[in-house]
Parts: sequence; structure tokens; C-alpha cells
Amino acid sequence: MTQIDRIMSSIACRTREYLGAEFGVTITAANAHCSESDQLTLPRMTTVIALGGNINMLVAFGFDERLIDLIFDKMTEGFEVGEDEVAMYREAATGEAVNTILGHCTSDLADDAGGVITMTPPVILEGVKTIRRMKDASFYTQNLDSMFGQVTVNLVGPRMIFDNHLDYATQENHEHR
Amino acid sequence: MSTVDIMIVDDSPIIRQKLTVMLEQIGYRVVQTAATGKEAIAAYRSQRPDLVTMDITMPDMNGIEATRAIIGEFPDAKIVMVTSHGQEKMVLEALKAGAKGYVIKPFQPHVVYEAIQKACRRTVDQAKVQAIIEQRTNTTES
Repeated sequence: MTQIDRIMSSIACRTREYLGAEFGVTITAANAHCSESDQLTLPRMTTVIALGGNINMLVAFGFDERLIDLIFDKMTEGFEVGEDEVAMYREAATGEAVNTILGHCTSDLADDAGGVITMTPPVILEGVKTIRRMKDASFYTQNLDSMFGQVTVNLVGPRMIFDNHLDYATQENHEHR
Repeated sequence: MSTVDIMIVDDSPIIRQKLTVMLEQIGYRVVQTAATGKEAIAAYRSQRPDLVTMDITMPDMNGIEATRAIIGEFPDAKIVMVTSHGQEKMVLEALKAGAKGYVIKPFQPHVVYEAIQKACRRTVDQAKVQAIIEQRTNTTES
């Protein structure tokens, strides 16, 4: 099993566990592939977390709207959310969901010989975004289907050529919106 | 149960709000919240809460560095990590920094309650933590 396979397998397993236990969502199908295309198109709202240590990649999660609604409703149970706070709490809810899933993954992926796997705080990207693949970049995609819609997981790396907004960390901007 | 004044440190507004509601329902008093490690240090100096719940992944300064700084200045501070990080090494790092407990998200009220109660009535044996760290380091190197 390659490292990418291990990462994708851990993410699929932890996403299934978390969505099932917290929100009663069952993942019905999963498929993963190494993208060979020249560009990666991210969903309208994407949560990005960079994993350090022996992983050294960025993970971008996109949830279908119905899943976001479900996560938001469950996480805000027990307190009032004002109309002007809804957008902020929706972002916070998906950010926390991704943070929790990947935090659990770190225990699967930790390597005794390596240091700890660090995580960055979640960054929320709004609006459909397309990233063109440059020579050294790699994209891997996994789709997890549920009755409330799809979870799209993209692995983007290596980490050092991107910033936390998935823009190339060079002066020339290779991103197209 | 006597009231315990608690400060919540987490960069997620939804977690700060959820924890506040949960802790107040249990009977604790949330006296302060902070969104970063640096905010936490400043707020601790002004509030001197009985206990801190501390996230790890945060902007500008992570929770382990903030714990180390607070314990360095206030050795009796009681800090319980509340985080999604499940790595054993991260748990040991937190305990080595002086944390008195560790709760993995998503948290359940009874787990948070037990961690807070334990932290309030006893301290972690730092010599034991150090021995575990050294044992693991030796195993990795051999």
C-alpha cells in the first residue's frame, strides 16, 4: 500500500466513523483515484488543512450543501445563532468537522520514526476554484457518497509549493477562478 | 459542587460556544474565552481562572506552546487539552508541557466533566510522563 493509499484509506475510515457517530450519516460508496488531469476543480465551499510531519500535503474537503446544513444544525444545537452569524457558524462547523476527522487520522498515520504530524487551522475557500497542475504538483481525489450528498476529498502536494489557500507559493499566480 | 471558573481556548467559535453551554449546564462558570495561544496567555494573566480547556491547533501560537508558557509563569495552573489530535506523541507533548488532562474531540459532557474533576483534584506525575517519553524514545532509536 502506498502512502497516498494509506492517507486516503484513513480519511475514508475516519470520515465514515465521524459522520456516522455524530450526524447519523452513512457513507454508501467510496472511490479514489490519482488525478492525471491538468487541473483540479474544487467545490463551492472547500475546507483546507495542511498536514505536516511525514505527510507533507494539503487536504481539501468539500461537502454537498445538505451535508453542510446537517453538520451546522447539529453543531449549533443548544444555542441561538443570529441571522448575521449563520454564514460564520456554517464555515466554523465544516472547519471543525474537517479538523476532527483529520485529527483522528493523525493517530493512524503517525510514524514512530518521524515527528508529530502537525495540522494547520482550517482555511475556508468560498467559490468554485480551479488549480492548474504544474510539473511538481500532484492531485489525488476521493469521493464519498451518502444519502445527504457527497464528500469530496482532494490531496494536494507537495505542501511546500502551495500556500494554505491552495495558491502556488510563487510570485506567478497559476490559479484561475 | 463548588463553582470552578473556567477559561476556554479554541480558535473555532462554534466550539467555544458549545463548550460554554456544556460547561455551564454542568455547573461550571465560564469566565473567559480566547481564540489563540497568545490571547490565552494574556487572558490567563488577567483572569487567573481555576482551569483552562486548551485546543492545540490554533493560529499564531499553538496550545502546547501556550500551555508551556502559562505553566512556566503560573506553575499551579490547571490546563486540560481539548483537541482532535489523537497521536500518542501529541498527548505526551501536552502532558510534558504541563497539561493535567487530555480530551479528544468530539467531546461528550461526562468525559469533559471527568477530566476537569481529575485535573482539579490531582496533578500529573511529571516524572512518570518523562519516563514514558524516554522509554518511547529509546524504543524508536533501537
